[in-house]
Amino acid sequence: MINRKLLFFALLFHLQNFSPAAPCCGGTANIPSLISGDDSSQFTATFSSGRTVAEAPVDGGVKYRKDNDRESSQTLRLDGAMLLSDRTQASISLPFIRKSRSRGNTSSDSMGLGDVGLNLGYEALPEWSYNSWQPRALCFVSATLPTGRSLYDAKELYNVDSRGRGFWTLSSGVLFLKMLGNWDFSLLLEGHRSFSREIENDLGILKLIPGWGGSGLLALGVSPGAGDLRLGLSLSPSFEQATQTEGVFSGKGESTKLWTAAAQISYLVDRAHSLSLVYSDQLAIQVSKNVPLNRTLALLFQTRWER
Amino acid sequence: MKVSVSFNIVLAAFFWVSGCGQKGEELGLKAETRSCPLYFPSENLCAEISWLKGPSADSPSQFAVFFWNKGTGSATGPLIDPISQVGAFLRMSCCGSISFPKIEKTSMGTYSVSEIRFTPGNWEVYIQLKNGEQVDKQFVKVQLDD
Repeated sequence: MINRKLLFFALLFHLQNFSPAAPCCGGTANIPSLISGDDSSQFTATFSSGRTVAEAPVDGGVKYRKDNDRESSQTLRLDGAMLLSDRTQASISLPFIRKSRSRGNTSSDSMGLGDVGLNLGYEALPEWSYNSWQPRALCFVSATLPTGRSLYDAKELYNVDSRGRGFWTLSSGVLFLKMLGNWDFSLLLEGHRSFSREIENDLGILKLIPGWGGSGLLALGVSPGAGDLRLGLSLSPSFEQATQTEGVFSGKGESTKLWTAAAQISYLVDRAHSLSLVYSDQLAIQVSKNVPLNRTLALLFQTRWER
Repeated sequence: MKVSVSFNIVLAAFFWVSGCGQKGEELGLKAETRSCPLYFPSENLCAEISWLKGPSADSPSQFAVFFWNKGTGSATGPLIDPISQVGAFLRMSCCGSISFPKIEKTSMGTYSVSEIRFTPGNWEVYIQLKNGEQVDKQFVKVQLDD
């Protein structure tokens, strides 16, 4: 018998881990909200509040921000998913982001839509009956739309109006889930490719050529006494190749590397509703490179409709 | 003994002469850089930027750029307009992000570059002359404390 309760919890965890972590430079791919179990559709609202406490320079290490340098972001992310057939599903992800930064007596803030995600999922390995070793597997393909202004298009002080990467991105990946008693284990592997774009002005044409990227997630959770509570931990690395430029300036930027550790507590309110609180920390494992490092607290609410 | 003293004198004289020569070259280079901070060989022009606001990461920065003929002018004049189109852009040295400020001509040989938004870190401020396919660009380094 499949423990559907644990499945809801485990999937909730993935939602938070892949919300945009570093909207300015690095960031991660847009992993879709996936339907598990016997639901025809689901809606998830995630509110997160994070603060940039340090930078990971290009040559590694950690450079902490000064006390009077406060950069924060609040994100409301709405995810809707519905089944298209027994094993196929589609979903959309809409992030609304507010970013602010103050240094001494100067401050700047901006709010707007981030990069929208469109996703298709397929349950490649269903778990219709109990199997001691075979995990459940969900494959997905996602398109990220450059609806959030990028660093190249930002106009405000401290680039607070940069809420996206500025590229069309196609991602593909697979999520494995396995329940063993009160424990659940997850492994997610994702790869993506962003497509080039051009900025044209009086100086000529600046062609931006992004590269490949990838991300992963390793998570485990336990539901004490198989009750309505779940405690979880996860680790998620992500990598992004450097963006090359041609035209006005021919050169290459720097690649980014980001590691996020997270702890989560979830509560299943009833069959159709669940809540989750997630704390994520990008300083816990200090091997990131060329990204701002954030600490974030997120609250998730999910409601589901049965088939 | 006499041989040793003479040798030391010769050695000291050699180092003094060679050291002096090096200093002279450095001074020459510095003078050259001062007289022509940014050189554009496509039009044999020199240019210099002068900050009007900033450079700062905490407020929009602005500078003026002056052009003159190498050898016949200086930053104080006479200034001349380049034949090529004048442009400017900013590049963050660490990670390669590029932004485009606003540029407009204010008087003969003088252009104003405004709406510059730096973030803390190291930057390269590029001045570009573009005439068809021919592009000539030079940059000034800017370091802003974080």
